[in-house]
Amino acid sequence: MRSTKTTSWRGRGALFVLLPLLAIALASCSRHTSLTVRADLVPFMTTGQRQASISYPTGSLDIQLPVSTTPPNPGASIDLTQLGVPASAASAIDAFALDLAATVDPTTNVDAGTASIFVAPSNATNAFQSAYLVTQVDTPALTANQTATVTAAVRLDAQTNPGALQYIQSGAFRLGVEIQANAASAGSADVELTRMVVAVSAPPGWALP
Amino acid sequence: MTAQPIHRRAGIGPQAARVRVALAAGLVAVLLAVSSASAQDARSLGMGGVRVPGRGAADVNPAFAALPASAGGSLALPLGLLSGLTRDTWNPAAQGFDALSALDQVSTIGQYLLNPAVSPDDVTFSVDASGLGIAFSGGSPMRLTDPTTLDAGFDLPLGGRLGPVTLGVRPFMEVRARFTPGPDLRAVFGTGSTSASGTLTADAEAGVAVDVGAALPIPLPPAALGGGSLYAGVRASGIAGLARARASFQGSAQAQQDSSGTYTDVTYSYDGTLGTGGLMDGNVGYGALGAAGLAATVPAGIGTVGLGVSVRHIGVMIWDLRRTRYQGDQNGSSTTDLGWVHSVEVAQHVRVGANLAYTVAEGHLGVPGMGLTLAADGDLDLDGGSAAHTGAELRLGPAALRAGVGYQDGLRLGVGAGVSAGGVGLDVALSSHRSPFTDHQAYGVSASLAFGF
Repeated sequence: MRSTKTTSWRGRGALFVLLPLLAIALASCSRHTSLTVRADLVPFMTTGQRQASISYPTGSLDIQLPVSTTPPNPGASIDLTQLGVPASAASAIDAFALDLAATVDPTTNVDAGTASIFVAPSNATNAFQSAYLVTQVDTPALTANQTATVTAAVRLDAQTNPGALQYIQSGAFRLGVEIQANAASAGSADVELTRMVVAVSAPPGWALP
Repeated sequence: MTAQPIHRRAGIGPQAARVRVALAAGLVAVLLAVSSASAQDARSLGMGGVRVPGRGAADVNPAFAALPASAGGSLALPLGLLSGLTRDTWNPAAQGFDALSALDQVSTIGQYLLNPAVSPDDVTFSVDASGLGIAFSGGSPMRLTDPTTLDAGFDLPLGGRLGPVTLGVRPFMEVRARFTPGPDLRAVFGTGSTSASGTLTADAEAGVAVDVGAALPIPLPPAALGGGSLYAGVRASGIAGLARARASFQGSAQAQQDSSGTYTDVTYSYDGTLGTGGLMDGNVGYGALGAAGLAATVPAGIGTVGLGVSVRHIGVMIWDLRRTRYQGDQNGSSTTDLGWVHSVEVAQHVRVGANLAYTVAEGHLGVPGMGLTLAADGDLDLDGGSAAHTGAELRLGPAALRAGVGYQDGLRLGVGAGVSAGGVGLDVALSSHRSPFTDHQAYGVSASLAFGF
């Protein structure tokens, strides 16, 4: 039986405690050194946020990740300072990457579709609004009663998505992924979010004035 | 256009200008001398770091001061300062600033490093189902899984001999830092771990020592030691401490799990104290340190064995330190002023050392003017850390070739050469050491002037 892993977001950047005088002071205090913080959000989600059986009507499969049973869906809340990212580094972040994977087992055939990625401010109550849409990627067609893995990987930067990056640079933001596709007929799909890795990068020299 | 004297351009009188020039020259001279005195000489570096018994090694064994004068001494040139002129890694405002490179070079100021350690291009911290992780990419390979020590000392011994007695004044500065990772931290750099812990201690002290030493031959029966000689030496140092900093920090991170192994939270904490004191606070430290040693020279075959054993850095220092405690965890941090503490510190880093050399004088190896020295030494820091070196020197007339290998917080290699004439010589060496906090092997060029006295 799969274990249920839950946790608060407190103190997840605990490594920064051990290494500020070494890795940070020595390594990051160089003009050419960049900092990357990578976190997989899945191990810290409740089972209800990771797994669901979602019913869909004819013509429309719509899956919002992480799953929320009570709309509106606020998405995943990410506080970079609680991840251990120093405030000075958060404001200097110049790149954001998301690598997501989810297994989907629909009861009917589903056409190829899209995965829409949303980045919203921390006070948003619904992260899945068009104003917060940053990009879309294609998803494959799904066969009835066969488990398929849907993946989405994107990288945002100040040139392509300045608005979204502003939310990220504030240190706290929300993140959501919505998979949409045309379904031949009504049915249900077992969905499990298996990977939701976010990575933020501060540019070389971020720690130096 | 006629050039004006510098004092007119500066708007000061000629007397003041001379004083300023003299002060500047004095400052440069002191800096050069301090740098030189702090550095290991090129003869030693070319022999893998080994210290050959002789007057030049009296700092590690006071009995060596009584050895015959042919052993000589040397003055290392601070070639590392050239790095400040040729690279911008020292300048925090420069595009090429690299703290790790600067630390590597400063801690080996007697060498011009050809390839100092380079900071990583990227430091990645990760949190996932396997736990906590850290990875470095680019730059020199960081080494934080084993205890790592940074030990840098700078001193300027000034003094002389009066018969068996040596007197001297020695401004000094010492910096020692040691990072000790917990056993769980090793996994953080590999497969990941649900916990990580480590300890960082650092000591820094600057002051002026007044050294008084004595080294004497000990009378022996004619047949004792195969006709060799035995020497004993002691050195006592009165210390006036000008500045002191002492820090000790522990930190840990833990992915909390319930009875079923499910993550429930990730917590961290750190706790440490920093004590500082010195002239900036209107007080000085004081204390005394001592060293003692025995040395012997024993004829053996076509050569002579020179050896010595010593213990040094025994003593006590008394400081008034203002201590501050720093604590923190995932809920916040706090700083507590613990006030002034009268600190009586029994000297740490007591060292026990042994030096051994076999020297074949010129004329005994079948080749005119050829001589040979084989040497080895070992040094044990009772508070952690040890070093051992071995090396050889082949002399042919005024020239010498050297090579050696050692271990001192990592592998050390050295090759070198020297020439001498009229009691003065020049030694050069190419040597390597492991750069602080890394697995990087740095190579440096060093040079020193040798004196026979």
